[in-house]
Amino acid sequence: MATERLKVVDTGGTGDYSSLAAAITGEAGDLISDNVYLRIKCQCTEGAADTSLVTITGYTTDASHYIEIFTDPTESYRHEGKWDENKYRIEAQASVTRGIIDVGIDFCTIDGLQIKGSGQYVSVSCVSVTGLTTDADRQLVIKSTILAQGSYDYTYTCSYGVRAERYNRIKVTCINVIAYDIPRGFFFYGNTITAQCYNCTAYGSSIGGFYGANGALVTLKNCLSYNNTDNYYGTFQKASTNNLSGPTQTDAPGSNPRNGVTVTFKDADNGDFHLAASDTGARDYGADLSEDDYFAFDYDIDGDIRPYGSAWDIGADEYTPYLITANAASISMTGAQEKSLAHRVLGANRGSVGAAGQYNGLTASRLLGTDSEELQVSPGDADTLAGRLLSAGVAAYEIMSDDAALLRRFLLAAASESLQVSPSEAATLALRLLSAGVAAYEIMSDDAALLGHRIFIVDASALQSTASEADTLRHRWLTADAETMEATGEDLYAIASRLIGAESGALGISPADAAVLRHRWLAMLGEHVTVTGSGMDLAALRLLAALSGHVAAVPLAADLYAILIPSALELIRLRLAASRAEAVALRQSHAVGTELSASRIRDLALQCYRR
Amino acid sequence: MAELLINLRHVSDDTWLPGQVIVVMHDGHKWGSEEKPPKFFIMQLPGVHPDRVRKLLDAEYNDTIETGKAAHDLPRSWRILLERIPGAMLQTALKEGRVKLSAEDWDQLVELDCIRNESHYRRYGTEECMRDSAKDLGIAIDRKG
Repeated sequence: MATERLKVVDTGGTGDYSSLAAAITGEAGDLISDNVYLRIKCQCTEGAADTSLVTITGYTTDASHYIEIFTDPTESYRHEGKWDENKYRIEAQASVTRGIIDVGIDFCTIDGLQIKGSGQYVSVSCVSVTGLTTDADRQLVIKSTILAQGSYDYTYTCSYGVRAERYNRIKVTCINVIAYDIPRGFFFYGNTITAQCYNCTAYGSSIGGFYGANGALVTLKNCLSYNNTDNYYGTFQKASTNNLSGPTQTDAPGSNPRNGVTVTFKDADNGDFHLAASDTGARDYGADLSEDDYFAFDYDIDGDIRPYGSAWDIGADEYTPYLITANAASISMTGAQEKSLAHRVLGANRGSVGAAGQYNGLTASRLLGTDSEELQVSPGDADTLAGRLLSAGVAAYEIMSDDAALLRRFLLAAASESLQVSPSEAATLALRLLSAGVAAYEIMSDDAALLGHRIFIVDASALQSTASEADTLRHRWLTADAETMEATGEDLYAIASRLIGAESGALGISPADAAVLRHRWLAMLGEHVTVTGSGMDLAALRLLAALSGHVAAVPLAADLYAILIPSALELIRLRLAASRAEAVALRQSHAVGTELSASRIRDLALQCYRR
Repeated sequence: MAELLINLRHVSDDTWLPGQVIVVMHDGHKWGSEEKPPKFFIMQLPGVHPDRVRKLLDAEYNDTIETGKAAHDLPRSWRILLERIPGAMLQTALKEGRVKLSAEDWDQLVELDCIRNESHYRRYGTEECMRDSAKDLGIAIDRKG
């Protein structure tokens, strides 16, 4: 079995190489005889772009001995579905007709890159697979990558996003790729070309979005071609399905076409092709490709799990309102990361939330669990923040006033005199609510899911319940035994205490109550949590992510086990959607009592994520 | 000042050859830990803007690719023939991982036919032609150093 050879490219100089071009040259050779597969991880610790043209050649590869060029989803150098000048990116200009990345080897995967090209008196491609030799059998996979037009001063531009043509036998697979403002987005030309484009988005092409010409065998599934002069040009395979053409064009190929459809993006003018919450054109109209015969996957361009909602979305993005778990003890974020997290915590549209500047940073800090005393935030400030926090939600999601008050008390407990909790307790409370809400979102009853909607402001339609219904839900959700607890108006403090203290004698909770709470909330007791019952696996994973600095996978019995994950931050980045089956697989893959390192559990989680 | 990353490896399929310029950067660029001998060395050209030497990065794409029978395509058309450059200069490059060229050094490399456009060489085949091609690059190193 081939072993991994990992090399790091960092444009800031801390890696093995400072450009992808140098890494390709420096590692070139026969991967088969070396019995390795080469993974090149790309970073930009100082934010600088990689400006060198890349020619991938000089390798002997096969399906097991390949090159993977990627940005790590657990690191901050990977884009989040929108072109980002702070993430790893290749921005280069060519003076001959070629690709910014020219692929001239047989087996290569590109995952999570941003590529901008421009030409100097010539036409270039972001990724070109014309190749340098004949009689090849190129199998290029491009995943979760953004292709865009670079700045240019000359007549010619970047003319192609992905280009495969002419004489080599080439198989190109594009998954969750966005090509925008490029004359031809996805260009496949010639009868030796086989291409599969799944959940790709082409936007703003002055000539055409998707090309299948001169005999190229092109299959498109869940592709979104929008606002291009010609959305789909040529002929496409009969297996093509669930493609969208808009806003006025009616040329979507294959079965179940969506023609003449208006799609609402977050901010297409500024390159944000996430689907808006209000979109009705692409959301839930895609085909399920999780068991596709050719290339099965279940994630979108920024790692969100498909589907969210009733079905897959068309295009590179799966609309997913962000949920968050957080660990005040382990999160350390600054700048853009903090801003990004604030946006997500706010539960609003990515990049479009109405909290900015000092409020944005302040909100992020508070919700990340920073001690309010350190921030020197007065109750008044907190109210302002709450107002902003909620106003964003109110504006976007039509939250009722009672709901807003509830949210304020829960999420901004640090400033709430009435809750009588310390800042650190409040932080914990917020964390647990956030974490538990994520869990509840997946488990328990419909009521719990509905309350999860309320707390996380994720579904406007679910927020139409009355305040009394909310109370009922809250009681059922928060109390250990809805039938006997009879929690009433004043139990906010009690609830907070329970949530914070679980088994703390100081809080006056009986062991029995605590035991129930433990099961209900999966609260941490010691180093391990015992989880029982179906559907609790995900809850355990997610809640524990917020609480544990220790990792272990411990099978306890047939339906009883504990898994801890080191930090919620990692979970956020991984966007782990562990199912019970996956959790069980984790358990079964390790002997009783096996202690796992943080890095190992990360690997396991990543495997889950990739599956 | 431009800094050129010069390849030292010869890949068996003759795609990557010693002397090819792989990357051109501004001076002060932070190079990676493997961007040094035995894989690479840095050539510094004082007073030369990186844009002036990017021509050395051109791949060899000749017209025959239209027929699918391109026989000599290379990831770099240009190459610095390391076997021809003065020994002291090469020793410095290999020992220090970098060498700073004066204008005279560059002129010497041109006169010694160390700077070669491989596709032109195959097509026209004379050292004089190579010398002219190198001169045509217009790379002028700051003579003040």
